Amino acid sequence: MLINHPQLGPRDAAEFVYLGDASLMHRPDAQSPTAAEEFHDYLHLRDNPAGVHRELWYHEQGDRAWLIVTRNTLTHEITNVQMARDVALAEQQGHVAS
Amino acid sequence: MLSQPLYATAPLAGYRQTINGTLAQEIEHFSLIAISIPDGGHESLNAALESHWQLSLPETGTCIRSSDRAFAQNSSSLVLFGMQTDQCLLVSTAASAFEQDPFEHVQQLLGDAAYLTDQSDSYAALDIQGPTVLKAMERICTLDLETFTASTVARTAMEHLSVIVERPENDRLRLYSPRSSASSFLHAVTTSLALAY
Repeated sequence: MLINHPQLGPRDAAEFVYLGDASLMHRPDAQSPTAAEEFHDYLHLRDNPAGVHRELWYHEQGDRAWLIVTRNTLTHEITNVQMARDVALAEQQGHVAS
Repeated sequence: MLSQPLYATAPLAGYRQTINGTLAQEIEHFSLIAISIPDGGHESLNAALESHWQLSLPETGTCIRSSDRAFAQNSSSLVLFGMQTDQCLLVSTAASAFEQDPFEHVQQLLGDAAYLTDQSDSYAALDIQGPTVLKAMERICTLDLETFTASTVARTAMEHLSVIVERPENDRLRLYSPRSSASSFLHAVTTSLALAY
């Protein structure tokens, strides 16, 4: 499987480490009054779709960047790859990630 | 006080061998310094690099070579590798040209413009040059090295070992791999060279 890195071009999946659902980027606020419940959900609840899935991949044997890869779990087709850093910055600025 | 001075051994003990017409040779006495860019510090670091070595920060995946004579002995021996966002590597193979330690020299010149780490002793460097270089790499490297130019650099894995690859000349690759696994890395490369003809 090839992952088309936004800065480096196509790279073999063997260079990457898979972490999981991209929602892990949204860590709850520890100061929130409902922090315990939010952290429970954050740690234990995951969607496990048979189909399109946004997930985090780490380019360990490359530029050490985190990527958000949109992959179909049934076909392994990859339809989008973004730098997680760019997505996080866009979210901070109020833009909704695509 | 020792009566005999001690000298560090090169990671590959000065390996030099021609295999199927391609020379594999360890590069000794190089300096490799990791440069991390402080948050918001791109402009001041670029200015420092420009004023001292006529260099600028490279994009990730590219490298820039300097002709600065105060640092290096020839035009190709000072290179800045763009390894990742906010980090690059400064590599010189002319460390012996310095009167002082290369790391201290760079530290004095760049000051607070960058966070520096001397990684010179952490890597082994191997040059392979000859007609079978790309053929040999097909066995262990997933990158398309045909597309590499003198301005390209990449970090990848070969037989599970981390390797930084550059292609200073068409028929020459320079490979940097961690010192701790250098002999395994050399075995992988020389095995590939032996199978490429």
